[in-house]
Amino acid sequence: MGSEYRRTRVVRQASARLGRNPLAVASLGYLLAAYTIAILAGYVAPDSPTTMDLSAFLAAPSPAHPLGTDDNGRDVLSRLVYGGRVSLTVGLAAVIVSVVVGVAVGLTTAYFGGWPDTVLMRLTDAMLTIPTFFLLLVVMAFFGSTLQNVILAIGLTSWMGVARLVRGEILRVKGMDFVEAARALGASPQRMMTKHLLPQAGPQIIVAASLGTGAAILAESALSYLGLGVQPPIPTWGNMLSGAQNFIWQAPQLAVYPGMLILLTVLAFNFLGEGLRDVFTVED
Amino acid sequence: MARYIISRAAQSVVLLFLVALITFVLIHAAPGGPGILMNDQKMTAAQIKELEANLGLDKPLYVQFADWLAQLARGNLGIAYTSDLPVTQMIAVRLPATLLLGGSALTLSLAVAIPVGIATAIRPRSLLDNVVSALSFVGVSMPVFWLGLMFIIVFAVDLRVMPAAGMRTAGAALTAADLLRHLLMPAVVLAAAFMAGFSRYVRTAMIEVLAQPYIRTARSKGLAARMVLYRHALRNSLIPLVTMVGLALPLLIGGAAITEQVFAWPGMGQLAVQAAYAHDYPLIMGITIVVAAAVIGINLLTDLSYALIDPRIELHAS
Repeated sequence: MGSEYRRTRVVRQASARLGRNPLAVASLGYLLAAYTIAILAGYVAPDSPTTMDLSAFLAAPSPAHPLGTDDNGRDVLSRLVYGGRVSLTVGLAAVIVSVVVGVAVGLTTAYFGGWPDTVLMRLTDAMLTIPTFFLLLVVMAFFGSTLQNVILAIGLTSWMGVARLVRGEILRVKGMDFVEAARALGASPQRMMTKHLLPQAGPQIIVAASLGTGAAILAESALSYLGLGVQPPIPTWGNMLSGAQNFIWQAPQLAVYPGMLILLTVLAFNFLGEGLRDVFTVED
Repeated sequence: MARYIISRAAQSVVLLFLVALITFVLIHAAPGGPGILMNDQKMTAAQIKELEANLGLDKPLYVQFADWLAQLARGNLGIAYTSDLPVTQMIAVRLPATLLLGGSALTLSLAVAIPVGIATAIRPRSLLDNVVSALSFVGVSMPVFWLGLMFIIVFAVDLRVMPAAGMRTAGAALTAADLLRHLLMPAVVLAAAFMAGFSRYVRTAMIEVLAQPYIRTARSKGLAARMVLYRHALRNSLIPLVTMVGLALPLLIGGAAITEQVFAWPGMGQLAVQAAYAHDYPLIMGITIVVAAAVIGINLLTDLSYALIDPRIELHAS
């Protein structure tokens, strides 16, 4: 009961503090709106994202096509809406993968020490050394460009930061009195990790997850731009850009819209992440 | 000192071994594995068997890995499937273009980031500081390739002052001026992505150093502000920047790869993307290893040079 009360109070204080940061609030608002639109894509988009109308090749904006059409006569606005659905999903899902792996590695190394620590941290170093981009190329080329593989590939190449911060935070609090007390009371290793140690790294994980979602959206867009990510005709902001480059001389505006949306979305995740970091830093 | 160098070098070798292991395991874990090229309908089962035997793909995995490592140690990265040329030769042809692009971008980003970092550190929360801070947020939130596309739209499509792609004008003789014209846009685009982070880093390091007692001592001795800033503060703030650059290296190389794709710059990144499309596994593995070795080597050199330059670094610490 007591801890329940404390938790709601902490959350309320934190949200009040976040509320005083207009950029973070605007970012949160934008992201909520973007995810709502993505979920309701079928109701929001004026047209299907894949219906081709070859008579409307690279058409200028009109009431029927508010942002015009692309080289296959597909409605650009509808493709942006549906493309957002894919990009936003990949961002969030990839971060979930990277946080799960990162927390597992961080907890194991910090709690057990010894050879698991040495082996896993060397592996982390090795992963940080390989330019992630080439690893992503290898994975996409040899495992196939499906939505699921894009999510797994991005998640499995971006967990190292979370692993390091969880490890660092747990090593910091491991010797503290409350941890000793819990151990003296006979808490099991599982209970020690999940109830006492991991929550200490919670705020930092949330910050890293927000920044990581932005980074994952950037990675997805790069892969799809190269033609190794989610495959056409499914639109994503990244593969819309690679299609647009072929017609950059005739219809440069096609290359502008998807990039603007990527920029705004990643910016929002970064502002939100930094805002949360400020909130949690004051708390400490 | 000798002990430190040896242990640090041994760590690097272990790291490189792990990188090789990770790439090897990944490729062989893939459905179809490296043999995916042979999924050709026209080939008979016997022909596939023969080809696999020629490429050594019929041996147990650990033997294949050991063979590959042994060749690697001799500097042999195998033969590319798609061209029948040695991978080392293909990389050697493409390397200069990548080094030119990456090197120019790194130089350019530091040339901007260091002065900007100093200026914003001297006057935190000034107009300049706020503008740079906003720009750096935009810089890290923007896809590099999209910035490239915007540059192409503005400078090649609209203003027609810059070439949109390639390393030289087709048909024209290779001159330094022509090369520079083609290099300018990709280098600026790639540099832009790193300016933001580097300048923030110089700013933080500089503010930290400026708060140190020895700076106060230098000032109270009556030294000129300029002298204190450049002689005393800057030097010590730049040391950690070297580490930062080392850590950013994998990102820089990845960024260079995608920038090459945008501007049709004939470097290693473009080669890697082509190798990925064609499932040319000796080629993509070779590129990954070469790039990782370069990153590990440079990080080893910076660590060793620190140990030589900075007396505060504890040599016997693991």
